[in-house]
Amino acid sequence: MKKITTSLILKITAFFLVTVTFALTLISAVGIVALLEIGAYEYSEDFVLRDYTESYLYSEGYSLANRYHDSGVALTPGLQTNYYYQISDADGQILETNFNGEDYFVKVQTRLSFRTYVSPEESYTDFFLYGEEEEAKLEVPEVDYGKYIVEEYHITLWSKTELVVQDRLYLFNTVYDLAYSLRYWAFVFLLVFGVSTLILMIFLYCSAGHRKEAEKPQLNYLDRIPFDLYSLFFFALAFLEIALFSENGLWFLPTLYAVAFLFVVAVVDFLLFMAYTLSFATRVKTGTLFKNTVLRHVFHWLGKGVKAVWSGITWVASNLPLIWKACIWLFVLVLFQLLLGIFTENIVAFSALAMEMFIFVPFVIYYAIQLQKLQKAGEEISKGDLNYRVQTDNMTPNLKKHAENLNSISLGMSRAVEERLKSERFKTELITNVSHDIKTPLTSIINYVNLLQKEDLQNERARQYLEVLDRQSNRLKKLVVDLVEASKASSGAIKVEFAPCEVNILLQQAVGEYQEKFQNAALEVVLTLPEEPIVILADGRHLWRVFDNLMNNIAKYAQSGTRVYLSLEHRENRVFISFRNISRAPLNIPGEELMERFVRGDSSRNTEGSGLGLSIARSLVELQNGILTLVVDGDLFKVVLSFEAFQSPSLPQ
Amino acid sequence: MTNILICDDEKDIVAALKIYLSAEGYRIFEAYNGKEALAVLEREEIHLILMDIMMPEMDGITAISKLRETYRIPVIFLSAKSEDSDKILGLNIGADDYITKPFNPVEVTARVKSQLRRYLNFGTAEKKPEQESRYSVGGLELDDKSKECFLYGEKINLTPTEFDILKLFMQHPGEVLSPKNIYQKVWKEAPYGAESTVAVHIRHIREKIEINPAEPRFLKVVWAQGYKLEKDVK
Repeated sequence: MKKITTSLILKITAFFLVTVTFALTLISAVGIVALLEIGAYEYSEDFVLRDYTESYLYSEGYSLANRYHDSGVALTPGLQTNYYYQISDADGQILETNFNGEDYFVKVQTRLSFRTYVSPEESYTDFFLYGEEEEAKLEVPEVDYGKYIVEEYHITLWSKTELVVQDRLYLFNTVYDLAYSLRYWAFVFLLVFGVSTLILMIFLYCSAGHRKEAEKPQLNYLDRIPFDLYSLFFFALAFLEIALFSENGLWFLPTLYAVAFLFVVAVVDFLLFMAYTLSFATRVKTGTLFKNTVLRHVFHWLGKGVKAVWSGITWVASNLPLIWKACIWLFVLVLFQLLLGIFTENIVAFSALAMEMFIFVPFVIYYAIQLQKLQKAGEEISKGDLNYRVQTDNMTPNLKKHAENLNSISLGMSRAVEERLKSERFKTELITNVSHDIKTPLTSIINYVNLLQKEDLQNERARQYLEVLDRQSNRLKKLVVDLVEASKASSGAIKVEFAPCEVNILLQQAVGEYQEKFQNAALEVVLTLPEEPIVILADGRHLWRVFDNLMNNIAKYAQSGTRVYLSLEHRENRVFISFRNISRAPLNIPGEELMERFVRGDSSRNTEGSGLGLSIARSLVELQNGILTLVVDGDLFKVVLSFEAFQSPSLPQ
Repeated sequence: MTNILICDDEKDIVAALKIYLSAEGYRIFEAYNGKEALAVLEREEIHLILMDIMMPEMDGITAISKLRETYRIPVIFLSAKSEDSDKILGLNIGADDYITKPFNPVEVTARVKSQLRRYLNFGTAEKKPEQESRYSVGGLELDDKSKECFLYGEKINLTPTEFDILKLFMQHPGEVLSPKNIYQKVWKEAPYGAESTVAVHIRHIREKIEINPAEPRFLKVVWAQGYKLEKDVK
């Protein structure tokens, strides 16, 4: 089905065929009507022929008589005719004839009389004709014109059995012969051609718009013309045609030509009809029937305009200061009341109303100004400006109360924020001071443990205990240092000096610094760096501290004999630095939790380190406007740092 | 005999330091606050002072600003204050070095030695005539002919690559050199991702010439940019 409806050749053929079948249908229909008209279904063929021949002979006879009366010769001798004739005068005297008693088909007799009035002023001829059977008397005119001459001719015509001249009798004979023999077939033709026309039309409607290369119906050039314009064109054409025919008719044309002309017009009309309806079908299929109309476009733009105007009005209304809104409403109200007042006759009531307005309006505006102040204050406070205060002078008592409440809210909030900042600062300071106080005794412990280790101790167990003391005191030292750093990093008490940093170099430096540590832990480093230098805006020392912590973690917690992947990528204006390694101990803690202070993989709790490394790293990355993400996938431990790329790639060497 | 003054309010720390430094053959004087330290200075000929900052009566900062009016002997601060700002303040006020508590006794000894070497002997080394093949930055000396390196007159063994790298830094003191740059100049070929080798070699050099390689004084790491040799080492 699809193939049939998309084949262009088939469609063109169908279009030609439908034109032809329509023409044939039209011919069949016209033929049937014509045959009905001449009685082909009522009478025999002979009767109809005889009927036609009689009327033919009569009209020929009149012209013969006329010609004889005018010129004295009825028929130029030697001229071929389809009839024999005889003209005689009123007394039966034969004037002219070519009939010699041959065989004939139909014989008619008629009489033609001419009356010529002759008066001194004028003369004119009148003629009367009578049928053979009509034995009417010549009527004497009521008005006496005086003297007149009467000439009377008797005409007899015999149609020949064999027609020799191809005139209209001959044509009728031939056409009628054929038509009569087909008079019942005509119905069959009408049915067959009519039905095939209908089928072809349906096919054309179905296939309209379908193309080989497209799944959905497509529009051609005609279909793109706005539908209302397109319709207007066709209806105008139809209207014009009807007007032309009803005005003038086709009386100026001989019947046969008129019929042919009408036939052509009908076929052309049909083609136009098809063009219109096929386009209609395509439009319905593609759903563009109403979409593609001038009217719709017009309404669409009108609608858009109205919408734009409306949204403009609402925008203005929503952005207008409160006081302006109040003024506009008041103006409208006052105008309305004034208009109302003008139409009331009571002049006293009107002036009272006007007076009231003069007192009322300033009050409302005064209130609107106060409300606007409050609104502004609320906005500022909600935006975070906690130092904003409403000026409460000249405010009415109830609104003043509200303004004071707003002020105390912002005051309270700013105090709370201050408190928080203060407590955060205090916490950091406390940790720093406490750590100083811890460091002094710790120094002594470490030193004396060291001194003790240098003593010549004989007791093996005592040496083992010293070993533990040494390890734990060093761990305590690291913990204290890390604690200070963690509290500073998380409270933002660290100064960050941003400068363009080339991450490629930092990674190379980090790998160089950790080469021995990794070698000792039997870890192989796989470093993937892009060709071009990747630059971010950060503080090199803090960034190194982050790398240091992460690399240290890897050296401490990675499964020995595995590979460590360090990579640097630049994607869509962001730089991603990733550290991947295989954890030695099973990681049963989610990534987020690993970054919480003092949390480490459970089974690695006994090893050295404070557990603050990741927390410090994250705080430092965040201080440098970066993001640290931690992914734990089975034993795969992955840390990704992402920073915004620094735009200028050139670095001072 | 070299005299060292140790000044700390924590008696145990003074005692521990006394044990370490005595073992190195120094004569130790003790003080427990700034005032006492100044009094000892009046009485004795002191060659180096190790001083705490947070002390009762007179703190280290006040003491050092007082003693700097008359003495130019090396002073090393020993403090629990480990912030950068504390270190900068200490060094600006006139200290020659800054060691944070808890300290490693070995490091303290090494730094004391280094300061004394500079104070007592280095002045003579500076008088040596400069030669074409000789480079000198701070207490570091490099002889390109004999391929030898000296730190405050003490010979340091470097591998040929390490020597070449250090020479490059000595030729460009105070300049930041990127790993790529160093590789191209020393190996004389394009790096193609071999720059981490440079970092390893530099770490080795640092281990040889620095007292504490994690806090280098000569060959410093400029993170994310490169490395540089400090021009003026205290």
